[in-house]
Amino acid sequence: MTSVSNGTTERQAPRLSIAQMLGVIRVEFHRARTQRYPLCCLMIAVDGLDALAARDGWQAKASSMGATYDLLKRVAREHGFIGMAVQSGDRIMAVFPNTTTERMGQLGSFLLGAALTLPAPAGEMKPLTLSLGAAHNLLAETNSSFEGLVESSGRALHMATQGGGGRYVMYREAESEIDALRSDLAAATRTFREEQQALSDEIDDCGGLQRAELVDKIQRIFATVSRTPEVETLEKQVVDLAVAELYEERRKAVAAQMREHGRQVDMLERRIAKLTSLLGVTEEELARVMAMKQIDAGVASIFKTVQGLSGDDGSVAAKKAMMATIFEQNLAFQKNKESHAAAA
Amino acid sequence: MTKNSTASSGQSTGGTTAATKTSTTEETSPSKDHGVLYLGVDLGTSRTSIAASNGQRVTISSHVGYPKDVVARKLLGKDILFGDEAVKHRLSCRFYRPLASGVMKATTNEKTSDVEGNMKAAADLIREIIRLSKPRTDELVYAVIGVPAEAAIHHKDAIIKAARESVDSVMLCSEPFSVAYGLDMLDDVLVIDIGAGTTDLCRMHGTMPEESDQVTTTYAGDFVDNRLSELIAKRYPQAQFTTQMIKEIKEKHSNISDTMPSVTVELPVNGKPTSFDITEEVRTACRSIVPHMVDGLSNLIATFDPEFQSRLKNRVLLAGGGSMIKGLDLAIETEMHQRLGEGKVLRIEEPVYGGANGALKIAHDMPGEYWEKLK
Repeated sequence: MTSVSNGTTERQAPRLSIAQMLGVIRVEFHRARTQRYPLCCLMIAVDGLDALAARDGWQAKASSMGATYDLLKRVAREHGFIGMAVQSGDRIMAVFPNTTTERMGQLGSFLLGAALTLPAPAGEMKPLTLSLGAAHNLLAETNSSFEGLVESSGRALHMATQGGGGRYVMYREAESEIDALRSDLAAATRTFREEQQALSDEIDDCGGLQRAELVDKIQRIFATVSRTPEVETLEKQVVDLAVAELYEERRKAVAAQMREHGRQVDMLERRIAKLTSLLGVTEEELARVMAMKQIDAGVASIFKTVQGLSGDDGSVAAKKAMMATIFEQNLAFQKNKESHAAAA
Repeated sequence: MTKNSTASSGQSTGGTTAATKTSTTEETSPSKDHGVLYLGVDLGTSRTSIAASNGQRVTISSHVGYPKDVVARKLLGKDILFGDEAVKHRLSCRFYRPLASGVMKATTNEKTSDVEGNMKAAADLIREIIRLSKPRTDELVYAVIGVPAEAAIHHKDAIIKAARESVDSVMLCSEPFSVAYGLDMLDDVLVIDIGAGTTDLCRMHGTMPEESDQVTTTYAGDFVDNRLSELIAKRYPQAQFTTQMIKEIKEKHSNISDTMPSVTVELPVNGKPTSFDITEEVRTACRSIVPHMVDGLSNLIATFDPEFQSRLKNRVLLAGGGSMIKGLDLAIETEMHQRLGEGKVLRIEEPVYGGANGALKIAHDMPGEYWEKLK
């Protein structure tokens, strides 16, 4: 993999500057567009990098980015992905010509897996996780310009980061991801509703059963003693108390379970809402940018109203006559044409 | 009212069309209450220029190309090519020079007999030049288009039809008149507008010129190109060249002066670039139009009021792309002195935009009610 990094880690000095590398990538993009072969752009970010930098300083950030960059090079080399990468700031952008979306998905999985093998940053228990956003050049919005492709992969990365990180998102596949989440939610809601019903039934059923057993046991105990009115009253009071306690305990347990189910549904709903809104925003923005690209608003005229000849003009009378003649000639010609057309 | 909602992508790639797309639906059109844009268009054989009241001034060569087949369409990435781009890719296009031999006067294209194709190309060219002036959709757009006085009726109709798709109201006027009007020289002036296809001579005498005040000849840029081709072919029969190459040579080196710098060009001979000195050929070819021009001037002067003939001879205005031939003004003056006893020729400052500037001024001065009536 040809690569350029502006990171501060002690690695071999790049042979190309970032600008040169971007130039090479652009050439590759235009070649892919002309020759119509697939090309993928992968954007990589380290999750929680800002927090890490805030806690341990910029060295920790640089070191994490460096490690990620080396990881990308290693994984790409191991699995035969040929491409170009540029590291700048807190992102790494890699472009892989002749790479289908399926292959890019594989690389995403390899990278996510390999990231787990990286040593955890100092003071952290968990290893680094990566967010990966990818876009391919076979869509109208990504095929028209290199900037469009980069922008789309950036959006996919944003989607991956917003989704909690540690994931790979292919631009436009986010929609299907949301659809999958929606169907998950629908299934979960259906299941929870069934379980809720079952639990409600259970409260009654189990309560009834337990109550029956308990009543039997209590009645068996009281059967061993001589039955006086006081004892019978006492037996009734004990049975009522035990049943009430049991019922209350069971109700609390079921309510806790219901709350847990509700929390899970709520979480899924919030995630869908967030992703949908994010997708909506990006779609809206994309549409706006596309619209701006195609529709030039034009340049405003210096005149706000219809002008006509100025009275200050020395030859205003002659010019008026000329304007009238031009108009009459045009009127005769254009109206004649219209009447001929109407007649025809 | 026909409203314009231009959403063109003249330079777009991929599947988008290069032609201006227009919509005539009332529902989708914005209200045109934000201003008035005036356009002055000079529809020339070689170049089409536009000057607009929003400060835009654009000129493109009057060539239109349509990709010949799907392969060419894929390669070029556009449905229509205009100007120099069309010239560059003319081998892979159905190539039109729609205004050849005078603005759409001829019924055939110089290379094809595709009259309908020619008309369509002219219409597309007009749409494109209007699009390049960047009109806003919320402004009224009024255009004056300069055409030769002798343009045929059905071609004028085609121009108006094409223009109306992009503007709210349009008028045509005589090209040499618009040049004179732009310079505010309306009284006792002779205008020579040298284009590629035609040279228009127009006598201005304070009123709208009539038919008898105008002379149109074909001794213009194309005539010079053909003459230069003949002379080079005669002197250097082994040299290979095309009309387009000759046109470029002429535009770069045209000169009539006796002391003109030598012109050496490289032309292929059996595939090998070879240098040729064509100084004399360029001078002779460029000079060949002068006598014909003075013939036309003589006719217009001789039929004018004798009292004002002298004044007319001393107010000859040289305009159009052909006026850029170095020394042409002096050569005409010399010829006029020899044949008419006197003569003074003034070259206009902006030969390329002279017609468009004049048309813009006419558009500006035209009363609002006239525009309204032609909507």
